[in-house]
Amino acid sequence: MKNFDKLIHEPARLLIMAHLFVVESADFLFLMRQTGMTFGNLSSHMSRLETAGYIDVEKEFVGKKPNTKLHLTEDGRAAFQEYRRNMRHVFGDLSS
Amino acid sequence: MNEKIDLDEIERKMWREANSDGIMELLLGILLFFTAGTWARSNFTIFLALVPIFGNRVIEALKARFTYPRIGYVELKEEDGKSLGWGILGYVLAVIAVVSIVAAVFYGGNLESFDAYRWVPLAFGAIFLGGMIYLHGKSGDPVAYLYSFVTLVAGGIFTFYGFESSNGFESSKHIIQLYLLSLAGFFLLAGLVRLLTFMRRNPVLVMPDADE
Repeated sequence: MKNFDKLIHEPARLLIMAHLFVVESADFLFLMRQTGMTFGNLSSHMSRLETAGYIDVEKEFVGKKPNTKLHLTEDGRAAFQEYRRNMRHVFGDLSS
Repeated sequence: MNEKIDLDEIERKMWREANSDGIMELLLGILLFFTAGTWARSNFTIFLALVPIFGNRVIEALKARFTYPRIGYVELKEEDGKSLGWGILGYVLAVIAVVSIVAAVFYGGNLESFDAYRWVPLAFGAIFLGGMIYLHGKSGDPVAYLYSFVTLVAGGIFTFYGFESSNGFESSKHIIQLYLLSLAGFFLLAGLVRLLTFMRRNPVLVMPDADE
């Protein structure tokens, strides 16, 4: 049986990774609205993914307001691609 | 978190969300207005020349003022410019060919009275249709169908029914100006409605720092 990346497999983090996979980058507010997560929930999962090296978090100021921008790292993209391959393989095995 | 994750649909949704502010429609209306102006006065051409230079900066400034504080910021994936460019060129050439065939049928093969300017609105509408099909593919936004319907139908009306005078090219140029001005008015209005609706639905949020 394939070893799934348990970090990505968690539904909230899977949603975050999926959203960041299809764009170059997104800020915290945009991601929060798209995923429907609360501020604290997204922040917590964001930290886990950043610690794992799957996302980069850039903090900057836009005018006087702090802004947090996120994007997948190369490792994050590769991990997500691998996760997708594993999932397709599992469902392929189940249907045969 | 039981939603099926469809990456294509997620991308379309993010694209739709990022462009729901009406700003592109407003700028398209302004561009069409200046394009109509160049048919009347050649010194309007300077405004058209400024669009590729300042267009992106204007869009970013407007989004920073109206869009990002409300829905946040996203950098969408860029298209492959080369293949997109070839695709556009191919489509435009195909439209010109089709419109030429329609025109030839319309004149019954008698090309002495052929007026190329008369067919510009129809050709423009058909070219714009391609753009809207592309936009719908990227965003899944049904408003693209409305825009393509309006530009194509208006192009047909101005081509087949808008030309009444037999004064030849001068009247045809006026028809093109009128067509472009009509579209400019439509897109300016559409953009304004979308922007006001967008602002009403999405109040400005104050975000705490993500580390807190």
